[in-house]
Amino acid sequence: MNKWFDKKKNMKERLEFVRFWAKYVREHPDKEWSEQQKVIIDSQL
Amino acid sequence: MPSSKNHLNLDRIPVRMEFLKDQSIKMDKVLNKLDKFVLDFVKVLKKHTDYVIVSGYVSILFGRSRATEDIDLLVPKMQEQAFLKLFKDLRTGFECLNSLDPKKLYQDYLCKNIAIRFSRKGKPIPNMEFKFAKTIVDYESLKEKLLVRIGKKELFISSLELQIAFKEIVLGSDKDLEDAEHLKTVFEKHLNMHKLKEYERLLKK
Repeated sequence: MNKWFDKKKNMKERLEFVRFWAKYVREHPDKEWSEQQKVIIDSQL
Repeated sequence: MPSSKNHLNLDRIPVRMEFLKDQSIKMDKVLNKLDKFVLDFVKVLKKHTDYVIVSGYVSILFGRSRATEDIDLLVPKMQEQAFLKLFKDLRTGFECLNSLDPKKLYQDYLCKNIAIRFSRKGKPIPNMEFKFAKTIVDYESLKEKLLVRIGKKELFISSLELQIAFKEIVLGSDKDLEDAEHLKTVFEKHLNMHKLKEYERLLKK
């Protein structure tokens, strides 16, 4: 483990959110999650 | 009194992605800039060749909360004349970032298994990374491709099981592991676990 940053812990936390969001996608209408996704993608491009 | 049909207002019923009996997936997503780019590109491409979209965009198509600058595309090896026709057709809306000379692209890039990139004219990002299938895994992606329908538009993507196994075993970066986890969670009840294990075994060799 790096003194300043725990990469393993960070990845664990990231995966937890990935699963949270994927469940949201699975359980909500396409229009609902895709409008949120569009905001992120269109702003990055 | 409104009729039951009007009262129901079918346009307002929320729709979730679903697997259909013909092994395709139907979605009703709001298209982002990346989706529009991909759908416009494959609309031209499909008139000339078989294809499959692989890697990161597959996860993004199904909701992953990230963008990408390139989309990976596999095409079975084409004859030079067929590629020249495709190139001419693509030039109506896209440009190749590697060269303007299609013969050079075919001989010095594609035939040497080097990918070429197409983007919308004057906008290098996002771009389509175009290459000929080479490995057994590339051909498996083409053979086991999945049709995705978004309204009246459609595209072919690699099988979800192959995507997950490839990202977890071959690629393995944090981003790839997250992409794989996303697909596993979204399609939890639809994945063929036997197929997934088979791909894992193949890719570990």
